[in-house]
Amino acid sequence: MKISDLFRLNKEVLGINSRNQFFVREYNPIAGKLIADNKIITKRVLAKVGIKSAELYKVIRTKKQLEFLDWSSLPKSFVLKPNQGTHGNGIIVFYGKKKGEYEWIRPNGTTMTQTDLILHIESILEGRFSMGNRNDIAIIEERIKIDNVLKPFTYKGVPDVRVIVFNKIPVLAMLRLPTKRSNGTANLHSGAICVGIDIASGITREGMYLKKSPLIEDTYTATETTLDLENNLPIIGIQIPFWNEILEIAVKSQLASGLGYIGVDIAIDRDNGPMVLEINARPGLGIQVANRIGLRSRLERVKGIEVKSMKHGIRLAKNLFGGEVEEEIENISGKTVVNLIEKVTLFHKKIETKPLKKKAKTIIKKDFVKAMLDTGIITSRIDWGIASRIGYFKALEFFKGLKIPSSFPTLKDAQNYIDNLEADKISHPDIIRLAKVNDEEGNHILPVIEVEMRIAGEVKRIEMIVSTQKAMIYPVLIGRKDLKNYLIDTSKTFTK
Amino acid sequence: MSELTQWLLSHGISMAVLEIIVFIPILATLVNLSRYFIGFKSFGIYAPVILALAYRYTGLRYGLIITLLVVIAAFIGYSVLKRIRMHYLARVAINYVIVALVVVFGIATFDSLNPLGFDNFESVNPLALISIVALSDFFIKMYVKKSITATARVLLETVLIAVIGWSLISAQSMIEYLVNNLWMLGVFLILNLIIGRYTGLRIKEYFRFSFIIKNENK
Repeated sequence: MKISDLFRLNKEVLGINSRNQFFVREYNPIAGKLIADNKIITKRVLAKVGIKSAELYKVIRTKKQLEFLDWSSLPKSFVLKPNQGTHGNGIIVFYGKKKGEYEWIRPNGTTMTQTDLILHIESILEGRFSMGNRNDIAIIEERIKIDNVLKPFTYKGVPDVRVIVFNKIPVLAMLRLPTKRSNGTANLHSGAICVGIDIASGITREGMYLKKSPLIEDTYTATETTLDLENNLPIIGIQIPFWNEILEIAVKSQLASGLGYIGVDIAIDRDNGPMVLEINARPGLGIQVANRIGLRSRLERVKGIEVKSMKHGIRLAKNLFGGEVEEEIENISGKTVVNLIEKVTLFHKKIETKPLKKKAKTIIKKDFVKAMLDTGIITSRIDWGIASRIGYFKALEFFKGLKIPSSFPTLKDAQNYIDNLEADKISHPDIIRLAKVNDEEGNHILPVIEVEMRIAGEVKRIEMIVSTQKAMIYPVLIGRKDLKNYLIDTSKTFTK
Repeated sequence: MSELTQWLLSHGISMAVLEIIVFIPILATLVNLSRYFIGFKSFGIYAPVILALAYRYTGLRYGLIITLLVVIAAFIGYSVLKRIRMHYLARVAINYVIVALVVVFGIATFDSLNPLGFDNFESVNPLALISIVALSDFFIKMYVKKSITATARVLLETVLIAVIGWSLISAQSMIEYLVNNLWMLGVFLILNLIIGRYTGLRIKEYFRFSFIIKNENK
């Protein structure tokens, strides 16, 4: 590594020092930290703005309350947590209960009796798991049931999505998959896999996990598949379900907590959808490892932007930080990733008119329209009205003058008609050829013109059939002939 | 000797106290520096400072061997007790008992077998010894919450800082200079202020995140 690399690293990566001094200290007021550090208050604050979190069954504040705990009222499955715990310490998940006994079953198959539970709760109350060993409260809450999409990638526990939000803008996100080594927890330090997520699409990128090394801490190894499962699956390219909702929840949580810089942990419940597990006022830096992207440069970019609303923040994030997945695919395949609906620029035909003034100006006029990339047709199509507008009016009038019947019984008849037309009769400079078309309204003969347009940043001349079809939702359809160098991302159907 | 030092010495401050007063800022600054500049996690600031001071009074060789005894005792004691169900503080208390026994009999064994030339345990300062034993408390408290590897790493870094601290406070000429020029302690104040405002990456973090740059260069 060169010295210049060290300087660059310092500029791009957020270290603990700069996180604490520039972000946690500056943007996170004490009131917000108190909310984030206390799971019960977090739940209350989030519920006020309509964000779901695991339902609270029991709160045990003192040993007296523990003595009078109604054990029979506990459900079969639940989670026992310290209210002010850190790093997931002291959390025990119970999947089921032995019939007729006060004995609950843990994910790894072992059981805990009522006495075991009492002891664990006492440890929690005594502050064994809380920050600075302060006395704590034990909470018993609903167990989140793992969503079917992420289930095959997970060893026993519940995977979660961590989103870093700063100034109402989601900056970086990762998926954490529990492994056998992490014992079903989504904790990176115990060996869970962290997978970077593209902010724009919610598609996972590459994965990393902590190497087991006694002396050197925080050395990560890359992985492309899950670990320790019976069928290890590739973890690149998973579409996180409810992605937009997850981003919205993350931003809403930031606003509700009053924190400026926050890490929101969201799990997806099978029945309830995305639910907040917890919010962090001092989110860890491992997310940079998962994404292989420095957080500092992103935070600096977002700092001071005036974000009007939650939606605005998410839109900014998608525009600023999205697209990593596309870039990767483009690098591998050499093809450009485009949306199903792309905005294209149509350049008007250059009309040579006599200059009214002395100096003739060549003004290039353009139109912006939505084009659908339609793999169901071969040749691209353009709406008659639009074609007229962009300078082909005369050509189309000329075509009308040919008085070609508006429909034919079969396509073959149409082809015969074209063949029999005298070649010189259709000689208009703008009409390249005539094409036969079959659509809902029957078989037609239509003119083909060549239009200059910009699609996905590239200007090309495309042959287009001028369509008279009335039901065209999009004025331009791009057919297979012109789609050779593109990959279509169907997840981005509607772009506003 | 400066006038200030002379005045202090003649007004109830002994030379030993004055030396400790000088040691503490040095050691505290060292811990500060290793945390924020290098990224070493120690058991707080108290543990490495006390350890370094203890080593000064036991001698490094004796200090390290006692540390080793304490850690082994704490580790074995806790690992065995983990299987028995009991209250948290009871567990820590029993652990103290085990550590006390192991240290006493460990020293006796070393003294009688004399494998590495340790035969002068009598002269080890008892207060210094207790200070090292107190390390087991930090060790156990972390071990309860985190894994043995994480705890061992922090322990190693704590001892490392303590050893460096010991070598600093053993530099007699420097200590003498500081005792005679007490105003120099102000330099530590400024040094700590600078470290406290340091916002760059820690040395360890350069290693941790170095692949972000490597990844881009690919």
